[in-house]
Amino acid sequence: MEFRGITKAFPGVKALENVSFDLKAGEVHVIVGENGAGKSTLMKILAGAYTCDEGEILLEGKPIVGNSPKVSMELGIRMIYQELNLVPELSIAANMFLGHEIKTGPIVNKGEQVRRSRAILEDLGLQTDPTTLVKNLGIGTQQMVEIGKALSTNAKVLVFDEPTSSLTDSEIREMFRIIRLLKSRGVGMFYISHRLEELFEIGDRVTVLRDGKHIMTDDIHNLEMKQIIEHIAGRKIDTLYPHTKKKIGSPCLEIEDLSGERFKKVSITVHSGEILGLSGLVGAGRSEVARAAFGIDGYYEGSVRVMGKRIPKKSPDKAKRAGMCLLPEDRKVEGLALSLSIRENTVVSSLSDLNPLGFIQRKKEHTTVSGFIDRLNIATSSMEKLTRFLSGGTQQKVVLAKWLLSQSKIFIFDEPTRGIDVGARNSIYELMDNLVAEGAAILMISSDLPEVLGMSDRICVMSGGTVVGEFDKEQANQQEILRLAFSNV
Amino acid sequence: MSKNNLFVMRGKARLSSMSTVIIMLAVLLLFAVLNMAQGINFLSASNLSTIVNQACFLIIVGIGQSLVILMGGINLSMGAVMAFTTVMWGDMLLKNSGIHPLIPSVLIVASAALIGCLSGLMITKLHITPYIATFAVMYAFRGLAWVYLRNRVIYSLNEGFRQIAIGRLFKVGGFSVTMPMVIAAGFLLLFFILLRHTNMGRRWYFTGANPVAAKFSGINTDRVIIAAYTLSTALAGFAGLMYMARLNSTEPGLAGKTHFEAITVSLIGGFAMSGGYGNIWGVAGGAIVVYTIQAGMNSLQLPGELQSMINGLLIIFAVFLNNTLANKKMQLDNDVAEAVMQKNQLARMKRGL
Repeated sequence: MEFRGITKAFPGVKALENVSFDLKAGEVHVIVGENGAGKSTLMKILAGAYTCDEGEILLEGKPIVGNSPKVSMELGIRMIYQELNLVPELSIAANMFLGHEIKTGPIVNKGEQVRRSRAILEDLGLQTDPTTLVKNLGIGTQQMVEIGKALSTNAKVLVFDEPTSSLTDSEIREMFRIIRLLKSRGVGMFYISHRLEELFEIGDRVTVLRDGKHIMTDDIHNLEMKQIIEHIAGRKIDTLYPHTKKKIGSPCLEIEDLSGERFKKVSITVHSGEILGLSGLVGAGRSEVARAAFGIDGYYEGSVRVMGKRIPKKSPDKAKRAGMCLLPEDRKVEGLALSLSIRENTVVSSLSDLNPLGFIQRKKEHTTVSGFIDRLNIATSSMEKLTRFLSGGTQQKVVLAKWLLSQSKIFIFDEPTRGIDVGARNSIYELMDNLVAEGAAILMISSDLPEVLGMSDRICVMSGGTVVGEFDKEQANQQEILRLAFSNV
Repeated sequence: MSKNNLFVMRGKARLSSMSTVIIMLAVLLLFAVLNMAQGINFLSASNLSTIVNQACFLIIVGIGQSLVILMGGINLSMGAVMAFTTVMWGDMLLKNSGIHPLIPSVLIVASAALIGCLSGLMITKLHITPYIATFAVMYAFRGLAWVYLRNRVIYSLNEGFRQIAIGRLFKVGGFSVTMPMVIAAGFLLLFFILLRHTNMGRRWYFTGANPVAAKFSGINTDRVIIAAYTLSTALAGFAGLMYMARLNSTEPGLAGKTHFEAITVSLIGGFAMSGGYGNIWGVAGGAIVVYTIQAGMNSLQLPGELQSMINGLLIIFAVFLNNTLANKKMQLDNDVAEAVMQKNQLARMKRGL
């Protein structure tokens, strides 16, 4: 398969400009780039959802004519999206044959569908019963069903769009096993992901796109992580994880013997000038502790102190006033009002400080917000832009701007870089590093182990709702953290 | 991007935000034409004055309803609260009661506020959905009003008090400016300032747009929501005063479908049921639309049942418009901003060359 000189323009933006590269049979071809670099547009052209303005796509040497989703599908091009496209209330078999049911006369032949689904699942090395309803499956298995669905139609080219973003480690292993299996059968695969670590594990070749342009394609083993990151960002990055030497001061946030519905006797202390990484599996109770500490949810017993002063239960407004803030994992739901502008989102937590008389002072608001747009390098055409139109990284910066403006001293980051591309990630790490250098305290919840190891001064591991271990930066290593994370499940 | 294209995009964005005005003009024009066929000048100054005067009653309940719709909620209790509070203290407003009308007026608004606060508490502390909570309050207080007054009607009120609904101030041409107009304009201005120019209003819009994010931003969302229901229902109490002053009486059946009218006014006025979106001035347009349809159909001698059908269709139409247009406007505004930025960049590059 080959892309030749693909160009695509949207009103006001050139999304792709003369992009050419190829995919070999039995190859995992990794495509990386920042959000908006053109990865998704390119894949949508491949899938026939968009038509390109110039250029052509060749499949087995022949150009694809009459680009449409149907044509692409008939040619064996299949997409696996990060949001699953399965119907939760239907069985695996029914989902696999959705849209191309096996029929005897007008009636769906369920037995035959189940039999063939089982064959496909077994082929992938899965023991799941094909009559199980999809809603009863874990996300990992659902992803496998999605792959199986693609295989049921004889796919030649598979596109994975961020397939692992919501999977656990063991599910990712399983996924990689299946990708290797498909590879051995000569299926060509495009693999899009922000997690660079896994690209080295699974990829054969890598293509970098930036601002709609093809930057490079090379064998992944000729490259180092640092080089790829520099190609993606288009500038020199010394290290993904900045770490200046800091002075660790007095305790800022003290969580003491906190017990709630999904955590027990959790004690965590974060000092000023320190990043404390909170590691563990999804569901270990990390986010729940953070939510309880900030007052979103209640807790049974224990106490939360900020600078020695006790914060009452279930009152985020008091926690905020004491200088604590929480940057939630789900920015779209918990962090921002998407139908409001950058300006309105930035000032919302500091209204009383900005306008002590209760009346909005427009001028002051404008200068304040534009100051933050410059300081955090927020990419936007104007501060009136609605936050729903911003990329994940930029949204995270707006949430951060909100808390910087309200003069927070304690920052709880819940998965600070999930779904954020490498370039923006680096700048968020730099901001975090600057914060602690200025004496702030950071509690960073993260499932991304390299991130935890790279950024933290100290690491706590939670498992099954309790803190099971603590490391200094020097002692910590990946194996030991993982062992502890699984110790109390 | 061509200049022309940018111009068209701007125009479209502007148009999408003016749905209320467009509906209002369309309705006025429609009835003007229909009435013209019968030789009546619907758009005469004196007729317009009557329409605006009557619409002012709807503006007050419309503002009240909009406050809770802004929170993504709804207030079904408005009509019942109007009946209950006026029935409760109405005797003090009778011609010969010998009590200054200000005292019962304050009592009526205050007890309405208290009932609204009760709804707000049920919604925030007991987690009852707004629809059910205010539905229950509606039934309970309508019932209480009947129990309290039985079949009696409170009739013939203090003339001075009645001026808030029937007072005329001065004439501009054939258009007479009345007390209700002044009161409604006052409320519109007051709530415009509150919602758009104060910290409180900012918090209200934010809470309505995303209550979860509001909580995560350190806003005491419970307090915001309780305040919204309190103010909303207090406005119903005030509207009750005006309705009884206009009718010169009150009884437990007063304002039987006012809550529905208020919802229609608010939706046609451009408030979105999903919360966090709407402009208080739209309420004035919405009120004029709702009243014009009533008055226009009356003057054509069409049956009342047809009015309620038309109102129903209008709600569907308005909600459809709000949902599609609000989103479209956001998208268009964004596109315009992007296009302008690109144009400026291009201009800067050219100058550089």
